[in-house]
Amino acid sequence: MKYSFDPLKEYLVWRRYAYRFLPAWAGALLLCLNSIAGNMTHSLSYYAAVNHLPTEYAFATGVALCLVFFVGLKMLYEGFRHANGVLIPVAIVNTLLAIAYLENHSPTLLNLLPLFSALLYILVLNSKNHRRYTSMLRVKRRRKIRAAKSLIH
Amino acid sequence: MPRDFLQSGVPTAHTTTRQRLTSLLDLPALYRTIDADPAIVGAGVVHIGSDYQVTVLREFVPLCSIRPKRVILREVAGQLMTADEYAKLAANSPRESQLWKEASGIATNCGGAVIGFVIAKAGVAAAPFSAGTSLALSYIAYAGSAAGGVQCLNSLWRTYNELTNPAENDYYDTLGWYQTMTVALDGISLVGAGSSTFATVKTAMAIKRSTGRDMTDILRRMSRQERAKLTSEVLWLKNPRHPREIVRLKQLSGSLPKRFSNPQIRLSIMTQLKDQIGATLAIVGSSISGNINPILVALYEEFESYEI
Repeated sequence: MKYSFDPLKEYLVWRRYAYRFLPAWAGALLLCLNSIAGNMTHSLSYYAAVNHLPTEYAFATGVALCLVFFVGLKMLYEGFRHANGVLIPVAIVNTLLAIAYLENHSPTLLNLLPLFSALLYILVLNSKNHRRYTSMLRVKRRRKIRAAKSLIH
Repeated sequence: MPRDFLQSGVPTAHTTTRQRLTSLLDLPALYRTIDADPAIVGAGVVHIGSDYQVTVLREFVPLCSIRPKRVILREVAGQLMTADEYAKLAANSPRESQLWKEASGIATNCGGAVIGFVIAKAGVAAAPFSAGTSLALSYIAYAGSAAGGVQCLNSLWRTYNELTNPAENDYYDTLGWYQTMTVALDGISLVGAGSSTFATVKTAMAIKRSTGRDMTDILRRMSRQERAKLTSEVLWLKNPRHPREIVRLKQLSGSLPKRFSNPQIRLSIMTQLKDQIGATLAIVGSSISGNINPILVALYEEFESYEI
C-alpha cells in the first residue's frame, strides 16, 4: 500500500482519529498528571518530611515523574511499541506511592484521589478505545518506515 | 497623581486610603472608645483592606501593656460574617483561601495543554498556508504544549496544596528558583501562543492580499478565480526563490496545485482558529498567575465591598 503524503488527506485522517480518540487520551493525560500532583502533595512530601529533607525534593521527584510521563506520551504518539513500557511503570509508581501514604494516614476522599486516578489511568490505558488508537499509530509508523525503505532501495 | 505626590510627599494610594477611612469611620470616637477600656488603652489601630493593603491608623503606645496590642479592622469582600465566624477565621486562616484561583489555573493550563498537543499534531498538516514555516512552528508548539503540561501539573499540585497545606504554596512563592521556573514556563507557552498568532496573521494577510477582501469577510466561500489567485500567492510565498514563471509551469505540469479547494481553505482556517483558542488559554493562564499579573491586580480593585 502506498503511503500518502498529501497533507490535506493526512489532516482529515488525523482529525477523524482525534475526535474518535480524544476522550481516551486526553482523559489519560489528565488522570496521570492528577495522580502525580496528588502524590507530590501527599506521599512524596510526607516521605521528604519523614527523612528530614526539604519538600523541594518531593517537588523535583514529581516533575521528574511528569517528564518521564511526557517521554512515554511522545513515544506513544510516534507509534513506538515500547511506549507502554514507560507509561505503565509511571502508573505503578503512582499507585505504590499512594498506597504507601495511605498506610500511615486515614483514608479521606482527598487522600484516595491520587490512588483512584492512578488505577483509573491504568484502566483507560487498557480500554478498547485507547488500544485501538495506539495500534493505529503503530501501523502508521510501520507504513512510514516501509515507504522510506522502498524509496531507498 | 505625580503632582500631589510631589506636593505632599505621600503616595496617593496611601492618602486616599486614609482619607477614605477618615470619611468612613469616626476615628476620634473609635480612639476614645479604645482608650476608655483600661485593658487596651493606647492600642494601635491597623486597617487591612480587602486588597490586603495595610494602613496603620494609629501606632501602639505602651500604656496598657509592654507587648504591643493592636485593633485590626479588616475589610471582608463577600458575604457578611457573624462575630464567631470572624473569630474562627482570624484564628485559623492567616490568609484568604485562593482555591478558586488555583482551580481556574488548572482549567486554563490543562485545557491549553490538551489543545496544544492537538494543534502541535495538526500544525504539520496545516501546510498550504503557513508558507513553509509550519514545521518549525509545530516544534515550537510542541515545546509550548509540554510547558503547558508542566504548568498543568503545577496548578494541580497547587490546588492539592491549597486544600491540604496552604502554607506550602506561600513557601514556594517565596523561592527564587520556583518563581523563575514559573516565569520560564509561562514564557515558553506564551511563545507557543505567539507563534500560532503569527501563523494566523500571515494566513489572513495572504487571503486579504490575493482577494482584496475585508478581514471580516475571510471565512466566506471563495470563487474559482479568487482561489486561483490565492493559490498562486501562497505558492509564491512558499517558494520565494523561484520566479513566478517556474511556479506557473510547475502548476501547468501538475506538480503544484492550480487552486486549493474550498474545503481545503476552510480546514486550514478552522485549524488556525482552534490554535487561537489554545493561544488565548495560554495567555489567560499566564495572566492569572505570572507574567501579565498587573492587569489582574487592577481588576481586583473593582470588586471591593466594605463590611466593617
